Amino acid sequence: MSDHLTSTVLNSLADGELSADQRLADCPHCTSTALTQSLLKSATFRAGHRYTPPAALRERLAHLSAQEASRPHPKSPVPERPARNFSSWGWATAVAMLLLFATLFLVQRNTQRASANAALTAEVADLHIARLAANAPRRSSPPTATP
Amino acid sequence: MALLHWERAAPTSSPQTPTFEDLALPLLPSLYNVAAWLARNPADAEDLVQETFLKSLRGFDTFEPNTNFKAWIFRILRNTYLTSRSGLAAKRTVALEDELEAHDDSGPRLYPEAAIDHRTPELNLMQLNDRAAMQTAMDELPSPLLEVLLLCDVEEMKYKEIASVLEIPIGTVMSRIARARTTLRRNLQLHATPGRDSSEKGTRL
Repeated sequence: MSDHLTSTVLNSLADGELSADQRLADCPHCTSTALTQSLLKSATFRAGHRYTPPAALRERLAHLSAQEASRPHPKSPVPERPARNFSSWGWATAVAMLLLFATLFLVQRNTQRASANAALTAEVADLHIARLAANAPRRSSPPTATP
Repeated sequence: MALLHWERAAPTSSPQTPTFEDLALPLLPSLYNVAAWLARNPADAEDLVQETFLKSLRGFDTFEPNTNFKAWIFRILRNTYLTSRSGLAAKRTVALEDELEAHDDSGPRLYPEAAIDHRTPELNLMQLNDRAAMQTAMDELPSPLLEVLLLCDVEEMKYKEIASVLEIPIGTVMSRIARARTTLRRNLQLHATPGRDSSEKGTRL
């Protein structure tokens, strides 16, 4: 008796989930039960097809689909693209600003250095002239004729 | 030659991904049939199907192409049904059934009463051919058993697909199917009588 197939196995056989078991061929009781399950399945299939959708429902659903398709999608990849562009523009702007500041810094530094050099040169030149002036013999004033 | 032409032409033509309408509209009769069975009311079934369509249409972006669309949309239908008025009512009605089932969910069990049929094959055949009696017997099934029977026997889904729709393990699918058929046969024994009037209200095939 315990060799009979369980109802779960018989159902699986009827549903095509399992291939025919050897015990099915050997046991008339199991064969009969499997046949009954198959007949029950077929009867359920026939009785189960009971309701047909009204034509109005089909039309309504087709209309809904068309309406939904024509609506703009709230979620689209467009918002991400400006963010990416903004990011790349941001990088470019940052690099440009950096270059500008570096250039300004260099120009300013060179200008300061040039003016410092010019002041030094002028000072050296003044000192040189002063030294030259100090070492030169003083001219005596020309004799004046007395009347 | 035609096949060769088709094979050559196929790569050049852009592979059109099926639209929602292409996939969903052919399933409308199945969806409506299952919805009407579950809601037990054609008017509620229309609402249920319409809501299912809207939900699935709006969530179509989340559907992975080349996967089982039928199982996907039936899962939406079932979830919509569970949150609907009729679904909530059915849930309250079968609370005891669920309690019982919780003990069966560990895996397939033996159903000795299903394996033993004391009636004659002739009587079996007569009862099974009585479509109205079958429908009455199905009507009396609790929703968890009816839905699994509809998916398995009427929609001819595989156990794996049913498990996906109902979001339960395959073992539970198997045990529910066994229970559903046992209960169906018991209901049939109670209601099916030869020569019964098979006229019923509603839109029937």
